Formats: sequence, C-alpha cells, structure tokens
Amino acid sequence: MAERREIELIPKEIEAAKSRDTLVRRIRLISFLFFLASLLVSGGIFAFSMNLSTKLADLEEESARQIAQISQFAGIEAKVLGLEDKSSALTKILTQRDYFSIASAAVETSRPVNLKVTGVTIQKDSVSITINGETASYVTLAAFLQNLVDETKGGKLFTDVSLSSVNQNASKGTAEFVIEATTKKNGLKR
Amino acid sequence: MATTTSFLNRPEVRTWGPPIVLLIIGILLIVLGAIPSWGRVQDTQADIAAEQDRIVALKGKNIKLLDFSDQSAEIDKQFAVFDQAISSESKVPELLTQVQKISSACGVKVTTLQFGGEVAKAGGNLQEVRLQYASESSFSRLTCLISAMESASRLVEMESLRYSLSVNEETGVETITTQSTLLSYYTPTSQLSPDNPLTFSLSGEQFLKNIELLKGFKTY
Repeated sequence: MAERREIELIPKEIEAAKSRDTLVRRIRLISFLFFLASLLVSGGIFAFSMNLSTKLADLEEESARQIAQISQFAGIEAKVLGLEDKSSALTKILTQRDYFSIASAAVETSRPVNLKVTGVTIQKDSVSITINGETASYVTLAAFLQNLVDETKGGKLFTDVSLSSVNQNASKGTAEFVIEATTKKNGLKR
Repeated sequence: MATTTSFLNRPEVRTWGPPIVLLIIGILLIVLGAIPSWGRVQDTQADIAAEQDRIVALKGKNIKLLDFSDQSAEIDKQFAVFDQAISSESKVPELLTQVQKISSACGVKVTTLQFGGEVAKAGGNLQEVRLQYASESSFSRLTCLISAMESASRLVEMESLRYSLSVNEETGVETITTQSTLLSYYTPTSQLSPDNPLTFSLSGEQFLKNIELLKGFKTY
C-alpha cells in the first residue's frame, strides 16, 4: 500500500532556522529601540532638569536683588511694624481693660451719708468686689445694700450683694461690715 | 584571555548578547537616570513656582516700603504718639516716672513704686510689665488717681486695687492707703524678615480710630 506524503521543497530545519533568525532580528530591533528610547527619555529629562535649575538660579538671583532693596528700607520697615504692633495692641488692651472708676463710682453713689466705706478690693477680670465699711445704724446698712442693686445707683454695675459679716465695735459704737458685691459680666469694661 | 574570547565567540552569546545588554542598559537608564531625574524635575518645578510667588511678594513689599518711605515724616509722628501709649522696650524704665507724675497730678503721695511680678507675653508681639504700687491720699484724690490712670496716654491698667481707710487717732485725719498692682505694656523690637508681608496701612480704619482715641488721652 502506497503512503501519501507531502513533498517538502524546503527542509524543516532550514525553515526553523529562518524563523529563528527573524525572531532574533526582531528582538535585536526591539531591544535597540528600547535602548534608544530610554536614552532619549533620560537625556531629555536630564536636559530639562538642567534648564529648570538654570531658571531657578536666575529666580533666586532676582529674589536676592529684591531682598537687598528691602534691606535698604530696614529703618522704615521697623517703624511700620512697630506701629502695626502698637496699634493692634492698643485695640486689644482697651477692649480688655477693666475700668475701676466704674466700681468706685457705683459704690460712692450707693453710699448713704452716714455710712463710711473703709475699704474696697477689686481684681481685674473678677466679678466679685469686696466692700468694707462701718455705720452706726443697721437701717443705713440695709439702705446701702439696697442702693448697691438699685438700677439708678449701684445697680448699673452690681447684680447681687451679700453681707458677709457684721461685727459690733463696742468701743466706737458702730457696726463693721463686709459686703461681697457681684458685678455684671464685663460690667467694668467700656 | 583566551577563555573570554572563546566565550564571546560562542554562537548563543553572539546571538542573544547584544539585545540583552541593550535591554539591561535601557532599564538601568530608566531606573537610575530617568526616574530620579523626573523626581528632581518635579521638585525644581515646585521650587520655581514658590520662588516666582516669593518674587511677586517681595516686589509688592518693595513698592509698599517705597510708598512708606515717601510718608516717613507722618510715620515718625504717628510712631511717637503710639510709642507714648505702648512704649518700646528701651523706654520701659520711664514707666516709673510716668506713674509718679500721674500720682503727683492728683496729689497722691506714692509710698511704694517698684517693678514686680513677672514680665509676661500678652499675646502677639506684646509684653506685660507689672508695678507694685502703694500710696496715701484722701478718697477724692484716689478717685482722681483712678480716673487719671484710665485716661493717661501711657497705658497703665490697675490689675488689682485694695484701699483702706485709716484714721489718725490724735489728729482725726482720715487717710486712704492704697495698694495696687499696675499693669503696663511694651512691644519688643520687631524682627525684620524680608519674607514677612506688610499688611499695615496708615489709612486703615482701625488705625485711624486708634489715632482719634489717643488724642483723648492726657500726656503726663
């Protein structure tokens, strides 16, 4: 029985060698192109970087020129900054300031004629004021306490008063008292 | 030498050597050259942008300073007024004399006047300085003193006030003895930096308001 076989004009080995040569050539081309591309990219970035560095150096030079000009005005700049500091501080200080004259006036306008205020203690940012005094009459003391919270007198400042202590001074025939007065919040501010 | 030559002459080396070497060099160029350089480029671009902004700010500051230098007489005048209210560091010792003058103007006899308490930062570029103060007077003179302190061109504040009445048993004369902690302020010398912007304006609303405010204060 006869066997049918294809007639091979080119031997298989030669064809394999040809296709391997083609593959090798392609790989060589690809690797060369890759090398070329990476060389161009690296070189391009390097050149761009150098260009930017030069530009930055120029800008730094310009900054230095501007700084030199500014330093010529150091005297005027110090005064302007000082003025700015003092002006903003002035606003802050006057806003936060407690005016003790308000407390002094409130106590004085509330004081009955025959009552003597012998001492006052005021502390900045505190709502409590201590008033020491003496009087011969409890009625006068009661009037003083009322006056301190009377809206037309001390009540403009004080919201509450409490009698902390009353001691009879037998030798003088007077009652010595201590009053704790509570001011309105920010009552001492203008 | 002969071994190296024979290795290079081997057919597989001659076939695969050049492409592999080119690939390796290409990869090395990217990893060691392009990637780090690109990082540097980005940093430099950021530096350039920052430097350009800085130059704009510096030019603006230069223009402002030039403008201020044209108004230097007015700045000197206003500085003197504000320096009277909140003194510079070098003028802090003058505070004692000023408090003494305020007291004398009201007829109050000063018995103690000395720097005391801590020097503290009051926020911003402002420092506090404290004085321990004691005096003797009548009540009306003390009232005058309190009001005078509040309206003095040198800003002096009472941090605490304690007064008590004492009577001389022989003469019957009443004396108010006052103890107080006084609080005043000063600004240290400003630190100049070319990059610090100037935001101040002589025509600023708050500044003009403060000038008017200071006009109402009394100089001692």
